[in-house]
Amino acid sequence: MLPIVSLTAVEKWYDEGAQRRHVLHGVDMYVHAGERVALVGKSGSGKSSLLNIISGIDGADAGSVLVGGHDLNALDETARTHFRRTSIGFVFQFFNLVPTLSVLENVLLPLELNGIVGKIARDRALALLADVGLADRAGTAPDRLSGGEQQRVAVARALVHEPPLLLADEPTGNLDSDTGAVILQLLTELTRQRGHALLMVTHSREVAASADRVVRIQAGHLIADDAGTLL
Amino acid sequence: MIPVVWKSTLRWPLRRPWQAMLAIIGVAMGVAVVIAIDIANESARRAFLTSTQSITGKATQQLIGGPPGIPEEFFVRLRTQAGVRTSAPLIEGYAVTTQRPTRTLTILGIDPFSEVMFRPEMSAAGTPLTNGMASLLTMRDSVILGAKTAAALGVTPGDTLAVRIAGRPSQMHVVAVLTPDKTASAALLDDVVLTDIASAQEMLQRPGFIDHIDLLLATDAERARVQAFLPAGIRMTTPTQRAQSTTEMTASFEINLNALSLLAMVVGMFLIYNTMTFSVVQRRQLLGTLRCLGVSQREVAGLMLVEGSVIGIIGTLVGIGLGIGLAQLLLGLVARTINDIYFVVTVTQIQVSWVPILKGQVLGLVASFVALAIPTIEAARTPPRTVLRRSSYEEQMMRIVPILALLGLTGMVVGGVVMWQGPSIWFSYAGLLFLTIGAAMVTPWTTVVLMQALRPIAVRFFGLIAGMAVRDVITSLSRTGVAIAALMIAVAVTIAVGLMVASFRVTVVDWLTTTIRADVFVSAPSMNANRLDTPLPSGVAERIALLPGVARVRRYRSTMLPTERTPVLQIALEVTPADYETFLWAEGDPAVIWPAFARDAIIISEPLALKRNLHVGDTFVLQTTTGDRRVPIAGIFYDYGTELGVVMLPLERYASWYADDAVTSLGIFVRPGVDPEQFVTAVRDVFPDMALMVRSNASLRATSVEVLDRTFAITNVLQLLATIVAFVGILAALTAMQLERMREFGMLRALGLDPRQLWQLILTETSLMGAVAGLVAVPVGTAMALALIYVINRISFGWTLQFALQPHIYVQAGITAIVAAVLAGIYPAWRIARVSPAVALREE
Repeated sequence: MLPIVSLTAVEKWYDEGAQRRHVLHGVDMYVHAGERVALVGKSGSGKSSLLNIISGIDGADAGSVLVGGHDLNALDETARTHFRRTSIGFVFQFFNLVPTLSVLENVLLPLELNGIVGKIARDRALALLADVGLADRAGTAPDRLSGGEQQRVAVARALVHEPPLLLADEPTGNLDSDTGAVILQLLTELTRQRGHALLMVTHSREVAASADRVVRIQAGHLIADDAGTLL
Repeated sequence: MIPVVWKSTLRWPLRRPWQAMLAIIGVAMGVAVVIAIDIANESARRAFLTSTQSITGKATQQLIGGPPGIPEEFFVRLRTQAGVRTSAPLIEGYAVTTQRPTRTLTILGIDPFSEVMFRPEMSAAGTPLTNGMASLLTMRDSVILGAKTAAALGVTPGDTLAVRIAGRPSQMHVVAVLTPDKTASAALLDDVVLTDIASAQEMLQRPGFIDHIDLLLATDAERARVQAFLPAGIRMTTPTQRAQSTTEMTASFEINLNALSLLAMVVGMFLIYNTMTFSVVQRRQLLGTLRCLGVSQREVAGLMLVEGSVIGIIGTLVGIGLGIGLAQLLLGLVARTINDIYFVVTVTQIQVSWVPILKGQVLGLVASFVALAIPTIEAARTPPRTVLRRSSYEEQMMRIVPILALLGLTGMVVGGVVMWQGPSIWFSYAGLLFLTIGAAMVTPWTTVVLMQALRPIAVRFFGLIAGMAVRDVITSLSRTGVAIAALMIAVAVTIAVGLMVASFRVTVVDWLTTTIRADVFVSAPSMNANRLDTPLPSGVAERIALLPGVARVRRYRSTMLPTERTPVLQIALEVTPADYETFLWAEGDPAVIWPAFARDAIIISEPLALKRNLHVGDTFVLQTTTGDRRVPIAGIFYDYGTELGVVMLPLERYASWYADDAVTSLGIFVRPGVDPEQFVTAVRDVFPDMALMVRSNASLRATSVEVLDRTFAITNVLQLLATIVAFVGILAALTAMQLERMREFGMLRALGLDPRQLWQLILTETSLMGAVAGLVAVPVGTAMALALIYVINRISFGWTLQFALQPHIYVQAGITAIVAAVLAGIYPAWRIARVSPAVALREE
């Protein structure tokens, strides 16, 4: 089976005046469909850059980036936006719910962007809210929710349009350990049920332990996965 | 159903209603000022045209004569010898009612028998004679009024109306009230007094003369026949041409008012820009999230445009309502200036047509979109990684600031070049706009430089809180920069207009000192403050010359001279070598000018020379009673009395060329030791029954300066409105900025800052912003003043002004900037200091 994410010899650098700062060096990496991968590394090691490249938010300067069959290097900005819209679900550390929309509307947003509207969209969003335990808070404004509840809405929003790949940037980083555990369980269960791949950037051992595989990054180099294979 | 993605941004203003409200106020005020000026100008113009129409009626042609008018015997000859039966004589003048409130009435002296074919609306209830017109012929000083005017004055047939004509008290007997059957016609009778030619001549003291003859000529052959019959000094024109050349007189005045009103719009645009930029900055996280979720750049831009458009549309609609109200308030000021400087117009009610409304709508929306352009692009370009990588937007701002400054400087240079080299006044204004916006773009960089220099000093002498305040101005540059720039522009405009008015005043006062040398001036009262064209009763000059204490009497005759373009003021005067130094020359050598003037030449004013590109040695056509004469120009003198232009020629030559020996004013030089004020009283005592205006030198100068100040009243009102718009802007920006930092302040409170220290922090910060705005406004305002004085005034009005540097204007502007900024900081400081640290920390 082809991996959902396949990176080959990916390089990323930033030109800062006369200096060139390399953040990723010849990264080879893959994620299979339905697989849960934790990406760990110190601050500044290149985790976020890698996540940006996989999500099409940023482009690689060299190498090949294939996600869900799309060659991201070949896509322009508009095509990358459409790719993100259909193929990626995001969960952020700081939840990033849209404050001007209700809980239900936040979950409806990705569906609407994918052209799914009306009763079908509403039913699907409500069902997912029920899955994350927030069916009774559909009309509530996000700022009325606790951190854990907000992150549950974010999980529902990330999954509602059935993206093949879910990207989570420190999904429990802003939560206490109990709430973090609940969210982590929710993420892993829901992605497992639906067969979505999950790539989580994390500092947390617990989060890393919940993954099928852990990929370590250091100073822009992928150094190992949990099988101990040197990359 | 509204798409969810739209709801995500459209609900944003509802979360910050005061911010949206202030943006709406910005648009509304900008639109209101523009519409108000337009409506006021147009109402005055339409009132004038309506009154012209009531005078011209259905006439196809008009015959006009020289300054005294057309001898009435010519009308008789025209009908009897030339057989032109479709003709009607007319004499017109003005009267002011003595009741309160006073009203200016247009006196129309007509021939009731000839009238009906020209002005049928004045005979709606039957033939003119059955309509009371017969009484005009039989009763002295009898008049007919329109029903509306009669009602406004509270008179009915049989009543007597007390008026003053050229300052003389007079009485009119109302013999009939006309109620025309068409509404359109009713307007033509507004403030019009109809009377018989003979009564009008008597009321206006112009025996034997009429102003013009209306003609109804259907064919070219008829026109040619009349043309052939005309003696020298009587010309044929069309009523439209005449009305047009008169209304064109106010073109520069209207352009300048429009430009000033547009300034309020520009400041309003800054407000929209400010609000929307701020809104984008506040929403970067949200926009980044939307971009991550797959909302495209184009969709983000669309969302911002829709939101901005809603604000623009609401603001524009509110602005239209406000503008109509404001127009009524400004109408008085506009009409007064037109009456003071240009021509007599009676207008009390605004007339709202769809043109200014449409213009206001388009302008409001276009301004909103222009102001939205940059924030929209900024919003659309919000990188999705904003959410993932919390990169500092402010760091990015710091990188942009020098580029922005460079662009701004380039804009200022381009503005300067366009202004100096541009072919028309609109280019000059465009140049000024470039200069202003360029300066605004340099402001953030200047702020950074100043704050960086100030910080160590602030910390050393005022402690860490002062240092924090200084640093905060830089670290929030994306917000503070725009707010400071908006305030800077408002303050710079205050400085520029202040310096321009001061320079004008200084120049005019100097000019008055040089030119007004006689000790006492005598003239007949005139409807127009700047023009003394009512002849003095005969014999006045001679009797005054015989009074004890008189050293010399200088006689003047002022008339309006028709030219191929707008009319100009023609002053015929007596000049002796003693008077030579009362002229300041813009072009020409006095040693050559005076002999030529005495021989056959004229001298003209600087505005006339500049507007018609005339120089010494060129010729100018005078349409005299004895035929057109092409006369050489000997010199060009500075003149600030009228922008219409002045032609001067010796009184004797005028009398022979125009067959008119009337005198309109006298300059009297008294012998040493005679008190001018006592002499004024002495003259009044000699002519107790005559309505003479007798003024001392000091009083005339004071009156002239008063008229000058009056003409700037509307400028000051518009400038004040622009400042109010800017103040709303700074208030919006600072309030939003400070409230957004609630969490940061909560943290400081949690760390131990007491409410007093918070007040100190916030007010120091806002006053620093005011100080920077004031400081930058000094060179910018001065540059704008120089542009107004040396470019715009010169092109618009043809005046060369001396630049008067007035320190108090700078001090005032600096205080305004700081006070505005401090006032804008009070509400957020009050609110933040009251909130408990726990609540503040919980704020999003």
